[in-house]
This record gives sequence, structure tokens and C-alpha cells, in this order.
Amino acid sequence: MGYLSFAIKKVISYILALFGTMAILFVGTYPIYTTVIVNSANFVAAETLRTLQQRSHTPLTPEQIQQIHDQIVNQIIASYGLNKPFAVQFFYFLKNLLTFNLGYGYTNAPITSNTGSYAVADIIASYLPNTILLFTTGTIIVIILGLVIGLLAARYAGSVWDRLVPVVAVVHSSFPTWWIGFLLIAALAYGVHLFPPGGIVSVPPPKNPVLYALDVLYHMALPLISIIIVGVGGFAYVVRSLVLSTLSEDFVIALRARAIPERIVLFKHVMRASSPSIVTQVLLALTTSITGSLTTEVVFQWPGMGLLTWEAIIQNDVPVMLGVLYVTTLVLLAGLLLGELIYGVLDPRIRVGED
Amino acid sequence: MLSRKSRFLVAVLPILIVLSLLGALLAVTAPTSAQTSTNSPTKYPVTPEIYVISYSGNDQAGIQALVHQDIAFYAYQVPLSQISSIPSNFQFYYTPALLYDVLFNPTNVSYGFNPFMFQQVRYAMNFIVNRTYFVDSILGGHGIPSVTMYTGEPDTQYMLPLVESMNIHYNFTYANMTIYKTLTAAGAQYVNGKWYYKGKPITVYVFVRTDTNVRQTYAKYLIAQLEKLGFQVQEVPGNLYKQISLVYGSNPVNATWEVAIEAWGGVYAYYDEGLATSFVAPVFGNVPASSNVSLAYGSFNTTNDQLPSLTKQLSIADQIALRLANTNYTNFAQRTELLQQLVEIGLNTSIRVYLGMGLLPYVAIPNMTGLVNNYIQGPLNSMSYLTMSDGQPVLKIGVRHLSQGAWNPVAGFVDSYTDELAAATVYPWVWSYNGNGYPSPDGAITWKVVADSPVANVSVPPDAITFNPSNGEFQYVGQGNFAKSAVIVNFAPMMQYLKFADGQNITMADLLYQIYIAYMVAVYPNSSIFDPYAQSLYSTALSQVVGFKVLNSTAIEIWTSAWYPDPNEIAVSDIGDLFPLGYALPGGNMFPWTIYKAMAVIVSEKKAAWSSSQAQSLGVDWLSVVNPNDVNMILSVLQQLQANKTIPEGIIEMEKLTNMTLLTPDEAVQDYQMAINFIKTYGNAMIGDGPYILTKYSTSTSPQYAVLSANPYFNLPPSAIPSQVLQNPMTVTLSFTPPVSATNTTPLMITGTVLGTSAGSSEAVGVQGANVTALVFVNGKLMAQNSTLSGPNGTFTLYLPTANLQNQVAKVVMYVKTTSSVLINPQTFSVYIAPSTVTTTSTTTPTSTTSVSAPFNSTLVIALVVVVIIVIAAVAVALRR
Repeated sequence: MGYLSFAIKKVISYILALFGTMAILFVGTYPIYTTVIVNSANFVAAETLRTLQQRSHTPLTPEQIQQIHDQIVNQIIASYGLNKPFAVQFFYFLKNLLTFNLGYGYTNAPITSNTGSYAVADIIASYLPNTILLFTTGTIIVIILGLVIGLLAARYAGSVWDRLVPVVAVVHSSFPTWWIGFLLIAALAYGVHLFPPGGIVSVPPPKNPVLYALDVLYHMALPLISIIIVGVGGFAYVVRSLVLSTLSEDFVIALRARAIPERIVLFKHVMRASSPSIVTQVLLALTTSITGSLTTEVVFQWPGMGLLTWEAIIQNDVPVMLGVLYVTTLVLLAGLLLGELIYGVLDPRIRVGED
Repeated sequence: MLSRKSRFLVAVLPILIVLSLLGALLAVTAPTSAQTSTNSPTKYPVTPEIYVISYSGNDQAGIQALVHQDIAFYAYQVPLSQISSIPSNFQFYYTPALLYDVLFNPTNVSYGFNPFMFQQVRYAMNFIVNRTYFVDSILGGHGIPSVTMYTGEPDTQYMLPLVESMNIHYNFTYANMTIYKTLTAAGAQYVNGKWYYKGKPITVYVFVRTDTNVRQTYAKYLIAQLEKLGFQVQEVPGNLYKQISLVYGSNPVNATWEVAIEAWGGVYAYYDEGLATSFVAPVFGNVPASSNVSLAYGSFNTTNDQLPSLTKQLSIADQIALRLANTNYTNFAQRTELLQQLVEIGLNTSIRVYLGMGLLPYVAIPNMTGLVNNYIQGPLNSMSYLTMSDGQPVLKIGVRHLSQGAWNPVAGFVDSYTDELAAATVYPWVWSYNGNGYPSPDGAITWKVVADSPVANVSVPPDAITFNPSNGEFQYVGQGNFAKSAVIVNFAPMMQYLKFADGQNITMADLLYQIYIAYMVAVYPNSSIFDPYAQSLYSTALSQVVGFKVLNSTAIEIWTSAWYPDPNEIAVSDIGDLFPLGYALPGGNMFPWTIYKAMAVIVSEKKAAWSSSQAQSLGVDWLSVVNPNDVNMILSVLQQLQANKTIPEGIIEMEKLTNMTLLTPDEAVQDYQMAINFIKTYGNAMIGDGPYILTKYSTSTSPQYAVLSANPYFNLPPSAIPSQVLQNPMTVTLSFTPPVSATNTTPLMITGTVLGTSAGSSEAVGVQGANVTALVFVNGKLMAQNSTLSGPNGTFTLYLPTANLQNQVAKVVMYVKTTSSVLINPQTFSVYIAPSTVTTTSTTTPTSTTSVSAPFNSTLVIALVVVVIIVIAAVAVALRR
């Protein structure tokens, strides 16, 4: 029952954390976005009246003008449900979260799903796969390369190779991905016309599915390169540090004393001991990859979660912003929960400690 | 030895050969005029296919694509900071862009001492804002400075006497003195160059837009001036949404702003009373102050927090604005006078202090032809779609966004991006002349104004049709009804030359059914398709229609209670009152009855809504004919309607009233089938009558893109389209050397040249027939004026009377316009009028004029020389032998 109770406690705590986060977000954003919507209604009404005057020489009395103005304002407020009490709105918000009903985006914003739907769930479902395609692929490549480089650096600790890894890690990690992106676009897209400057497919996209897939990969090349450049050094350094600290353990000395080949010591014993930490890092990296990167996606015009977040902020589309935050919080917490559960499997001391 | 005859032939033959070659050379040599002549198209559109690529708001990416010629044209104005990155051989199309002004909060704010609650302080700001600096330094010279809201458009000329009488110009000292007197009288103290009120520094809150370069840069200048005046300045940074919320949406008494810089689009029109009424009179909800009858921003009563004198002036402004909006005058002169009075109140109250109009360029590659710049709509418009080309069968253009709203004719087409793209698929009924905004037919319809009177004395026949909002039915108007205007509209050209993109003929059924839909959505609340937002848009216009009558299968007569001193303008207004759908998209109402019916069914079943606010309320789609969800619903409904051979009740109702058979069941089935085939082929229901079909609309890709293919049913012949509608406006300027003095016995003579630059070109040529006007002011009073037309090569000579002006310094204001292009940018100079005994200096000769000369064909010269040499040689050979 030890692991089961451990798991149940973790699940409950993370669910509470999720709802607590969203409740705080709602309460924190509610005054702001209601003010924005209510205040913008006046502007919409005035601009509508100005357009009406330009289109037609229709006589209007002051009462008619005020009536039109009030009608537009009240309609806008009612359409967002802001004429209901705060408690009612909060209740429906939490209820909808439970049922994964993320509501509808603002219809005066241009953010829609591939099918033209304003439903936030549909919108996120349209953008999320693109982020997974790019960032999760990039993260996997970074993990694999980082593991190899980090292990090699730890294996040949003290060598030039080993000294190079921290330097590269620090330098590359300090590069902003968007800056690398701009350089790559300037050089390889506009300079030598080797790659496209952005987007996910050519216009028009190839009709053949294989050619379409190749076209997508072609457009992925530059953002992938920028993700790898910035990410691989840091991950390699983390792996190197974890493995090095395990290599200094007594059991490793004992294994070496028994003349067990270094390869087996490293990959079978040291990696096993280091795996909880590495797995945690990998899981965190994979889960955060789903949230994308706002700056990278904006620079490369990659239609993923980052670009969606950017557009939602620019357009003040609060339901979409809250929906994205909910999904990313959910994914992050799910990743952390999974990490803890796996950690509990890999390291029995964890669940014993919990008991 | 050759015979004489043979020798002659030997001599002549080469000559004949050379002459033949010369003739062939002449035949293929291009004409020697400066302009390359192009063959007139025989059919529109010129380009078979257009790719429209969206850059999702990333102007940098769009401009880069343009510079690298990945696209031929980018449909958004190039920011001033980017103009230098555009190669000089690209084509620039300058368009009136934004009207800039500084907005002052005139209320006694609750959080401190607001110096701008005093009219004298606000008025003094006119002498500080430095319009010349704004245009020359901030806009890089691409603009027209202005004291009033009328900048460039035709109404500008009526404001010139008013502007000169107020003598507003940059004068920091005068402004400082005025502010000092006003604030010290109000109890403020000026200590060591700083202002204090009750011991605290007077802080001015300036809202600074951080997302626009022009306003952000100018704000820095303005803040420096305010600090120089002695105020402590607190910047309130924010983007558009914050400005909408803080400045326009909040009670000005409590909102933390006192100064904000505004920029307004859509500020060019031929008759533009709406600009002054909207910006000066609180009644239209756009002023941060109240009058006796209206509220600040339509929502806040600030009369207790503003000076009574301001309330009184704004009340007068409201009265004048309502008279203008209601055409409560009897002739154009009265209209102009009312407008001047309203603008004068605006200048005196100075809640808005105007800076000028920005003229920002759209840019196209050198190979691009056929872009028709329109001062109201910009270069990407319905007429440009007919003629634009880069010589390739597929034209690629870039846009900022494909769309920022829904595509439906009732409460869609509300954003400019949607309208720019959709304009390719519909053909407008009326066109605003490209260079002056005057309404004009464009080949689709014709009209005849039967009556236009300020008094409702036009009898409406009893069998004209009207709508009864109490029972939701159309009926005859009956006896004893009168209107102010009557217009006959003939749709024959449209019905003859155009069809809908699915092949359906355009018939009276389509026109009458959209009238029916308009009344149902906007006037009859019990209708299942009623939309409150549509009501606010269209109900007042529809209520002006006293009646309409179908005269025959192609013509309708309309009677309304609206009137305007210009018959063309009232014709357009009356047509717009009866056919209001389409909102901001000219021609956006033209959908076949089948699509209107299908959309109505979907809305009545609450599966989608016409307007965004209704969609938001109901939690359904904002109905859009390019949204795959909605298109599937439309398709499904069409199939059901076809199976039932449904004829809409609106058409049946109209048939009874018009005694005409508008639609038979078999025709209905056929029409449904055509619409169904279109939707299945192209995946959208954007079935318009324009030159292009939307064959692809992709928002799932990045970049988003759309494909437009030539509509095979668009057969409007080029000869049917008035040439002015496709004419690019020419920017005209005056080139002259102002005389420095004159005498009062000899008229003041001004000679010069009118130079014109065509849109897309940088070459200036002399313009004949341009109207040059000069006004003479002394101490702000108009003393004389005269106009003349420019002659050949654009030269003009203008004489101004100078009698009774001796020993005066006269200020001369000159401007130029043509019949097809009005972008008034006055030029001024001062001249001393001496008594006749004083010797005057001779006027200088005008600056050199530019004339167009044909380039010399050097090829022809060389060929002639060769021929002469050969002839001489041949004759010499013959003679020697």
C-alpha cells in the first residue's frame, strides 16, 4: 500500500495545486479584464456612431444617439457575461475547468482554430501539435545529444573535451534563442537562400503527403538548429555534473577495484544511480517543451503555443490566455507528478520517506 | 563588264534592301514618348491568379519579403523607419493615412490639479505643438500639417479663412505667457521655473503609446515642451488596448491621464461633416467632456467637474452637430457655414489640438502595374483587383492579416483586412473617386435622382412598399406619404454583365430578398434572425426609407426622408439606406438569395450568430462563409432546402406585393445546386459577383494564405467602367517663387508651375487644367482671392487685387487641386504691399518648369546615316562605270 498511498497523495495535492493556481489566476485577472472590456465598449460605440455618420445622412436625435450608444455598450457587456455577479462567474469558471470546457475566445480577436472555431479548446488543439512537433522533437534531439556529450565528458573527465563542455554550455545557454534565430534567418534564409525565413509550409503547400512532410521538415530546420544550439550545451553540462558526482561514490570505486570494465561501470551502474535525477530533468524538459517558446515561435512564425500566447496577449484575448495557462499548468503539473511517481519507483527511499 | 542596266541594278538593290530593313526597324521600334504605351485589356481581371500571403502582423517579415521580391506588393503602409530600406526603384503609393492630434482632458480631475481644465491653457497648446516639426521631423516630410481636423480632403479649403483668422502658429513665448497668466489667476505658483499648486508640483500625466513609433517619438518632444513650461510630467505608457480602456473607456475625472496623442484612420471623404461632429460635439460619444444634453464618451456626466463655459460651448457644438448630421439646412452654403462654426468651437475649446495628416507609402516592386491608389481605401481595392499585375500569371501579394473577423454580410466584414481580401470577390455598386472620394457609378448600376428637397414634399405612390415593424410584414405605404428624396436605381448592367461566382444569374429575387433580410435582422425584434448589433447598425438607416417600388425586372425607385444638397450624394445615401448590408465592404451585400437563406436558417437555429457580440453571448460561432464549420452547416442546409424545393417566405411576400414572379421552384432547385457545387469545389461559401473567386482560404498553415482565381462569370467590359474609376490620382504641388513686394495699384502677379507626380512614380510633370487658388489675408482677415487654371506644361499666372492694401503685409495662402485629385496642402508666403510711389522690385521669374520631351531615337539616326552613305556609294559606283 506504500506506493499506492504515496501516489494517491501526490495526485490529490497536484489537483489541488492546479485548481488553486487557476483560482488565483482568475481572481487576479478578473478585475483587469472586466475593466478592459467594459471600458472598450464605449470606444466601440463611438466608432460605430462615427462610421454610421459617414455611411448615411440619417437624421438622429440626441436620444436616438444615446440609445444606440447604450445598446452597443450593454450588448458587449452582456455578451461576456459581465452583467452577472462575480461569484456566479467564478463558480462557472471552476465548473468549466472540471469539464475541460475552456469557453470561447473573444470574437473580435482573429484567433481561431484551423476549422474557424472560436472555442478555446479547439484553438489550443490546433496550435499544440505544431509545438510538440518542433519543440518536443528539438528537446529529444537535445536530450540525446546532451546525454552522449555529457557522458563522454564525464567519462573523460579532465580532458580537453571535458573542459570544453562547461564553456560551451555557459556560452550557448546565454544566447537568446530568438537572437540565434535572427542570425540564422539573416544568414541562411535571406543571405544564401538555403532555408525559408519562417512559417511551417510553403505557399502553396505540396499536395503530395510525402512532399508535404518534407516541406514541413524543411521549414523546421532553422528553428530546430536554434533550439539545439541553445539547449544542448546546458543539458550536456547537467548530465556531466550528475554523472561525475555519482562517479565519485564509493560503490564505483569498489566496482573498479573488481576490474569491471569501465563501460559497464558507466552505463550499467553509474547511469542507474544517476537515472532518477536525469529522468527528472528529461521529464521536465519534455513537459516544458509542450509549452513552446514564445520568442522562438514569433521569430520563425511557427504556429505553436508560444505564438498563440503572443497573439492572445496582443489581442487581449483573455479566455485564450487563461486557456493556454490552464493547459500549460496542467501539463507542467502532470509532468512533475509523473516525475515524482517515476522517482518513487526508481528510488524506494522516496516513498519510504513519505510513509 | 556589266551593262549600264546591270550596274544600275547593282547600285539600287542595296538601297532597296537597306530601305526595307529600315522600314522593318521603324515598325518594331518603340514609340518615342516617355510613357510606354500598353495594350488596353479586353477583359478583367488582368491577372488569372493571386496568392495573398499573411504575415500575421509581422511587418518586418512582410517588408523583407517585398524587398527580396518574394511578393510583388505589401498591403500595409511601410513605417517611416523602414522607408530607407526600400530600394529606390520600387514604386511608392502615398495615401492619406492617419490624422494625428493631441487630446487634452478638460475636467477637474479628482487626483490632482489639471492645468488643462482651463480653456486658455488648452488653446495655448496650439502654439506649442509645432506642426512643422511634427511633419518634417517625425513624419519625415510625409505629411500635411494642419490646425483643424480637415487635412487634405475637399472640406479643407473651407477652413482656410477660419484658420488664418486665428493666426495659430508655433510661438512658445506667447503660449508660456498665456499659461502663466491663467494659472496664476487660478492660484498656482511659478517658482524657479516650476509650477506648484497648494505647495505640490503640478504633475501632468501623459499617456504614451508604446506600440507606435510616431506617437512615441512625438510624445518625447511634447513632454520636453511641457517640462520647459514648468510642469512635472509623469508618463503613462501603454498600448492600444490600454489607451482604449484608460483614455476612452474611463471617466475622465478619475482616469489618470491629461494628455494623449491620438491617430485616426478613415479621415478622408468628399463630404466629411462626420469628422467635425464626431471630434467636437460630445453627442456622438467621442469627447471627454459633457454638454447640457450629452455625456462624456456617451457614459459619464462631467458637467460638475468642468468649467461652465466649456459646458455652454459644447452644448452649442451639439446643436450645430445635430443640424449637420440631420441635414437641417437648405443649401450647401449653409452647410459650409455650420461646419465652419463647429470647427471654430473645436479650435476655441481645444480639447483636440490637431497636428496633421500622415501620408504613408504603400510599396510595390518595379514590375507591378495596375495598382489604383484610392485616398479612402488605399491601393488594395476593388479596382486594383481588376487591373493589377506583375506580368506573371500568378501574382503574389502580402497582407498583414487575412482577416480579423467574420465574413458575413449582416454584421461581418467589420475589419479592414477582411474587407481588403473580400473586395476581390464582390463588385461595388458605387465607387468613391480615387483622388477625391466623390461618389461615382462604376459600371454596375446607374441612377437617376428624381427629387431632392429639404422639405418633405415628394409624394410617394400608394403602391410603394414599406415595412411594418409591428407585425414584421411588408405592405403598401398607402395614401398621404411624402419623402424628401426619390432615386431610381437601374441594376441592368450588373444583371447583364455579372453573375454570381457559382454561375447563378443576378435577379430581382436576390435584391429583394436581401432587403427582406435587412429588415428582419435589424428592425423586427420578433424575427428569429434578429440581431441587436445589426439593429444598432442598420435600423436608423432603414427607418428613413419611406417606400420603394419595383419598376421592372431591373429597376427600383426609392423614397426616403433624407436629403442632401448634392444629388449624387443623396442617391448613394438612399441606395445605402435600402441596401445597407455589407457594413464596411462596398458590394459586401451581394450574395445570392440561396446563401442568405441558408445563413438565416443557421442563425434562426442558434447554431451561429451574425454579430460577434451575439456569438459571444450565445457561445456559438460568429457566422463566417469561410469558416469550415459554418460552411459545412451552410452546405447541409442548402441540401435540405433543395430537397424541399424551398422558396424563402421573403421572396414569396415580395412576389405578392410586386405582382412579379421572382422565382419558380425549378429555378430554386437549380440555384441551390449551383451553390452546393461551388461549396463542394472550393470549400467556402463566399459567392460574390466580383472579379475573383476565393478558391482557397487556409488559416491552418503558417503563413496563412488565400488564393484568388479569376471569376469566369465576371464579364463587365472595360468600356462599361468609367475611366476615372481606374485612374490613379496625381499628387499635385505648386512650384513658384513668391514675390516679396507689390504695389497697391498693380495686381499682385504670381507665376509658377503645377507639378504632378503619378502614384507609383517619382517623376514630376507639368499638369494642365489644375485649379490654383490664392487667398490674401491681412491681419487674419480675408481681403481677396482668385483662382485660375494651369495651362500647357502646368504653367499658371494668377493675379490678386491689391487695392486698399497699401502699407500692409499680406499673407497669401495658395493651394492647388485637380478635378480628379484633391489633397490640399496650402503654401503660404508674406508680401509687402507698398504705395504706388515706392519702386517695387521686379518679380522673379518662376522656377524652371519641367516639361516632357520625347527622347531621341539614336537607332533611327544611325540607320539613316548608313542609308545615305550606301546611296552615295552606290551612285558613285554607277557613275564611275
